[in-house]
Amino acid sequence: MSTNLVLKHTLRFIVLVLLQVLIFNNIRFLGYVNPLIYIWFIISFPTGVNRSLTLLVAFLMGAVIDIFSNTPGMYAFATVFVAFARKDLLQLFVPKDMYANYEPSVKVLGLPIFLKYVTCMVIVLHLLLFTLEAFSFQHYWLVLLKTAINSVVTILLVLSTQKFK
Amino acid sequence: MEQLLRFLMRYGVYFLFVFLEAISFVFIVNQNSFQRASFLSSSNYISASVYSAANSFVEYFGLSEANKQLSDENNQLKNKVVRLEAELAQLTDTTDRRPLVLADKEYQFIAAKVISNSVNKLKNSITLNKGRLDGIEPEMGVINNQGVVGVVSAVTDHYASVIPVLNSKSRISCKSKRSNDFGVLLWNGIDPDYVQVDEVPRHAVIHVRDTLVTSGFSSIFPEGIPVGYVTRCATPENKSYYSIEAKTAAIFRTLSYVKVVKFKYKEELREVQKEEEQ
Repeated sequence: MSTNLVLKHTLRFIVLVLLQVLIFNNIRFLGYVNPLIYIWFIISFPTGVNRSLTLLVAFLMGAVIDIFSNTPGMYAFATVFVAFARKDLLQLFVPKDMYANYEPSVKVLGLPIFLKYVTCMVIVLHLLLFTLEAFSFQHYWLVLLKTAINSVVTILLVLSTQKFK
Repeated sequence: MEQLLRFLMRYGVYFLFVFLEAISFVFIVNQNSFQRASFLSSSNYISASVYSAANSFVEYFGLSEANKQLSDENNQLKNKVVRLEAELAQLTDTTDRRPLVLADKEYQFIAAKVISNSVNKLKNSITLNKGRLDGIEPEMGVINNQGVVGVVSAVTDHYASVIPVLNSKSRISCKSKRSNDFGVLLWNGIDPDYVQVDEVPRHAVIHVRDTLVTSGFSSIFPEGIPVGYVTRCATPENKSYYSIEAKTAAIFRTLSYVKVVKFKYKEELREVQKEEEQ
């Protein structure tokens, strides 16, 4: 990656972490709403980057958010998992003849493929994180409800940042 | 050797994945321990400074509400001073005995500001802008002028983390103000306005609209600080305890200023309790 690209992604990283910890983790609407918008960074991370590096960046991002939100390990665990699953999800949905290095977006993949990809990523992340937060199956319905509400909000937020034409 | 290298090159990603997940998991499992939590908690100096800076912006929007609360509290305190002065004068006039020592003399209050707060998780937490240098220590009670807020869990030199009532780990001993029946205050993680009370035996007398106050059993809270108001109480057929729901006395969505309760003779009390056990 050229220096310019590194700079661009570093900037994205910082802005998304700050948005997540200062705004989206503080929405108190109905007591449930806590969309994990920071995953936008992993969703549109270039696919050409070494997979190990992607995992390390995901771990770093999760760990930073953990430090801010007082939840040691939770975000790191969920983010690394999603970053790991990303390659397989993309292989599942994207046609084989797609070139190797691209940043997943509506413009590159088209709406149907991108939507399928984002939906899977977001639901897995939310389900994992809220389950870890509860750390028991006692609050199962609450976890599912939070996953459903926040996944919808996050998917809408991710789509709203995409250029369609 | 070459084969080993090739093997590592090929499956390195999987090892890294498992390694990172293992680290994360160790952190998750260990977070119950206060010492480790305080290492990575929001009393962490850097994150607390960022929150502090963000809060100094947000603070302006709540200024009028905070002013109103403070002046209300001021009024209450002034009224109390006048009343107590009158009482004191009366006591010293009519008898030559010294006035009785008030139980409150054992407690001091340290005022602090809330710089981060959450109500939408199962395990919520609050960060305060005062720390060890201001005399705050773990396991001190935190109240505001409405009622009980929580218990200090970890401190650094300038900041403190608080486990509020709205945390599934919180357990606070409380009693009904009217009938003195004891119970344990818990939160089920659903509605930040309502908490639950457990372990109140069926023969106790509890009614809707009763005030629940702290029991004063531990050195954490003085006796008689409001924790909630009963909104629903039932006696389920298959249980030996009441099922009680109460509205929280403190309103957690708009917390801004709190007081940390410092019990003067904490060490002494602990010592005597230790001797009792032996």
